[in-house]
Amino acid sequence: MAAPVLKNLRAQAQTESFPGTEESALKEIAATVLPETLSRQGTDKVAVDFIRWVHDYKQGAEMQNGYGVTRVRSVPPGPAAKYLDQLRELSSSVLVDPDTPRRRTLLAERLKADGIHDLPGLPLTGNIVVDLMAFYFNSSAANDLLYEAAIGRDTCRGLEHSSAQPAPFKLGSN
Amino acid sequence: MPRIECDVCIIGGGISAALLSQKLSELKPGLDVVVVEAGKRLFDVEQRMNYRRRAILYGENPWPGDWIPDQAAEGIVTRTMAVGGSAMHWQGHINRFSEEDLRLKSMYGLAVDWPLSWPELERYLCEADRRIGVSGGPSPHPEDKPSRPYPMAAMPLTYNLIEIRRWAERSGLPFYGVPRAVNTQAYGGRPECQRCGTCTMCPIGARYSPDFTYKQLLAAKKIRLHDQTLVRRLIPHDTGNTIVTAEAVRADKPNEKIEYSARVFVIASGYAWTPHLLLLSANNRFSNGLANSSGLVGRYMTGHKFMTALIEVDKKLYPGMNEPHPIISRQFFRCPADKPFVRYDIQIFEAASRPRLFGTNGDVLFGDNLLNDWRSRSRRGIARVRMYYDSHPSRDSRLTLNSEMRNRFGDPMPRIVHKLDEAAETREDATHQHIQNIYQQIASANDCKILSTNVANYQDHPSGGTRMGFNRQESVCDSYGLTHDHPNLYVVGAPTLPTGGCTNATITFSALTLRSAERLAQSL
Repeated sequence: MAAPVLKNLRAQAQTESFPGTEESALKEIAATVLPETLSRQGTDKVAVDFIRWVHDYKQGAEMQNGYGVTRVRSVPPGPAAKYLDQLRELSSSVLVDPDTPRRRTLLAERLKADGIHDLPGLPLTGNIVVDLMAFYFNSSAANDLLYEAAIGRDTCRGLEHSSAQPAPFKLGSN
Repeated sequence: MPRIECDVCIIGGGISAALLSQKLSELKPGLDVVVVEAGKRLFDVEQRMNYRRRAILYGENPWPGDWIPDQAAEGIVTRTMAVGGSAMHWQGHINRFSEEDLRLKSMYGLAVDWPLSWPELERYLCEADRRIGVSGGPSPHPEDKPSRPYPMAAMPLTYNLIEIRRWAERSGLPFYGVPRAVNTQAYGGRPECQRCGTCTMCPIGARYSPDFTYKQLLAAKKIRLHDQTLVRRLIPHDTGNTIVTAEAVRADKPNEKIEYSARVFVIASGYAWTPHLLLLSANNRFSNGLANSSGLVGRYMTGHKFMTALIEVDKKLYPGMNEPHPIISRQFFRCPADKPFVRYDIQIFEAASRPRLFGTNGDVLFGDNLLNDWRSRSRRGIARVRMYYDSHPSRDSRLTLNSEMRNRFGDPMPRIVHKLDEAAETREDATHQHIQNIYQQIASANDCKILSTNVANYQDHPSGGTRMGFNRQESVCDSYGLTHDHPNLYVVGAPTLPTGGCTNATITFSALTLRSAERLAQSL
């Protein structure tokens, strides 16, 4: 019985300490795969938000069971350990080259080799590149950037003004 | 063995039980009503903003613990088993059926007539609007006009929906906002909608859910609520037809049987678990299950089929303004009796394209390239156009006991297989073509493309299984839900519907339940 307990404790410790010494690597990845439009400051902020997302991750939490779906699913095991391994590996390979297009070429090859077919709706694949992209591109902030409008999809906005066209979006305003 | 005595024992704690017990407590103050629910109570509105946040970020269940691991079914069924039932996470769309639904046989020679008239049902629809709290505006069709106005002003159309309505109405079809069980002002002790865009997990209670009714009833000591208590059998009298007890078991004491003794029993357990309990209660005298002299318990399982299209809108839209709120057209709700039968509603929602990782040439997209690809597919808006169409069940559309799937007590779980009747099956292609023509009509009127169409392979808004009717040969219960075979056993809610209509059913079976409450109260 001791082994699973120790394993869980280790996973918890890795989650809490994520990304350890690899924060700069994570920010480099963010700057490589997220929109340049965000600026380096913006992609760094997404990386920090992603770290918080990892810290708050609850492995095994029950997932939405969905209408007409009888199967019950749980949130997959915490990804921190996998992410750390991947960041370390990326630091010594893809990120050695400072050129963004070449980094992207290398990352694209890896994603294809890993059998990644699309961007998932939730960042739960265990692949840090895809999950970071899914984390951002599915966000309310990305929705605002896409439509260049302050829609605020995930905020509670009240009924007043809902019939009006959303105000223009300014980067850094959310 | 613990024995609980009461006047009325309601089995199942969803929206039907909430409305029934509320009205009974008003009609017969002092009546001892016990609601027995297998799932737990989720009286945690203060936690829901956090649950919502985690559902968005992690896909977590915003109603944690709203299911029982081994209490599941095969077929289309919601896993939700909690106080409040499926109405804890509905979207609150309050579309009414129409007179045609109640007179299918006499108007079209199809399916069956319902054993009550439209004016009789309509007054209870208005009552259900008031009790649930409905916001809505006028329909362009005078036949749709409620005899009493909705209690709250309509939900304002968002900028997107205003544009979508303009776009859709170029086809010549009239649209208006769907009435909703969502507060546009403080109502019923619940706040005004804050447009969080996640109605299935409303974080503030602006969208009606039965937990609020239960909390009010409990605070006023009007009912007793026994949650986490699974009723496994109803026991009839040794020689008569009355139901004497309900045998149950609590989740925390699975080895201890509890007996509920009541003057009247009401099964309000939804379309799956109501026929299931009746079948499960078979004994030597009632070998096919209770209330089943007709052999129809678990038959005529119904709902409605549906088609969905994504169609371009020739206007930039801003998805995410209030996605759960649609507009509706009931232009094809009323089929002329001398024309081929086709009935459906048209509900249109805002929709959005999704970001994608691979471009059209197969290259992986990163950064601004991905954003620009996504933007190029988002310059024009997208509307999700969904039609629920009237499709009637066969007698062999069934819920049966599945001996290969049992819960911890060894009870077989339900297996649900929907099947259309012959006439409905025969007109499937014509119905699809009719709907496809309307998609084309809307798209052509706007010089827009149909991006995709899809015919669902299941029935939405499932109901039936203990259908009501005029006589004991063709139905399980009368129009009040009183079973033909047992003088003190009622069934209420979705399972009593003979046919599933062509729009959301909740307000209709809620109205029927309120009507049942009056008859039940008179009998006590």
